[in-house]
Amino acid sequence: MVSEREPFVAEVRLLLPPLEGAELVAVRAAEVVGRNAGFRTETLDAVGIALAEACLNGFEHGRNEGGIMVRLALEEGEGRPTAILAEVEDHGVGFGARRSRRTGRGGGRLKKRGWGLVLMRELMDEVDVESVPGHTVVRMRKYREDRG
Amino acid sequence: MTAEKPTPRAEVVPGGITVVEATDYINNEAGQLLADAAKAHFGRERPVLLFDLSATRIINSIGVSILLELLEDILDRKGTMAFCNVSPTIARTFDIMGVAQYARIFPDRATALEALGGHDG
Repeated sequence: MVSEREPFVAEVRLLLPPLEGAELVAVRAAEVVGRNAGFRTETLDAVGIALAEACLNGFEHGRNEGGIMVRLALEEGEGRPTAILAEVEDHGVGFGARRSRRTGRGGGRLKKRGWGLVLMRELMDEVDVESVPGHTVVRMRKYREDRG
Repeated sequence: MTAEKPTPRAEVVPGGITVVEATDYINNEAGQLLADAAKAHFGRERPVLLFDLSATRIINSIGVSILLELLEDILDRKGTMAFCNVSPTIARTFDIMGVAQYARIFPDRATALEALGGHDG
């Protein structure tokens, strides 16, 4: 469960249209925010992959005309950044009703579909999904490696 | 940011190994380009394919799923698929998605070529 914690020492909000590659805008923003706070490359790579998946989910299932809202924030503890919070919000059908329309065949010996949420949960420290028809928020947190 | 769609560089090196250099982001489009570039160089019954991910920082599940399709094709041909210069996070993603179970992963290209050169395919 990803709980709300204040205060945030830095915050970025992005309204992203469903354009090819728009998820990279969020990924780069998270990298800038995290690097300035001293997060390691490996940590930021994990945030980037998870965030890209969350954005792609939002684009796929949200209403295309509205795009998605991405919020990135640095959380502070004991006077220094301790975690990156990444939220992706869409106004689509909701997680319960989602069926992937992504390209790619599902057959064969290797599972090829439905990895988005799995990757988010594996690569981030905390992931929470709030979803009702018309509004979904994926909230993820990644802690700094050397937090006390 | 993805307006440019660079074609992956692919070549067949001594030993018959097809080496493909991936771009910085492997999404659906880049994944398909990688697969197409690799297949264009399949000239043998048991292909040996090495993806160099030196430039790759971000991948997504759709891009990896396309590589999984290619991996199945290669396994059906009794071939070998391998990766080198894989970042720790991408290596972990490959592990989660099952790529690492069937593909070989090497720390760098020289090590990969040396190991794959001994492949009997």
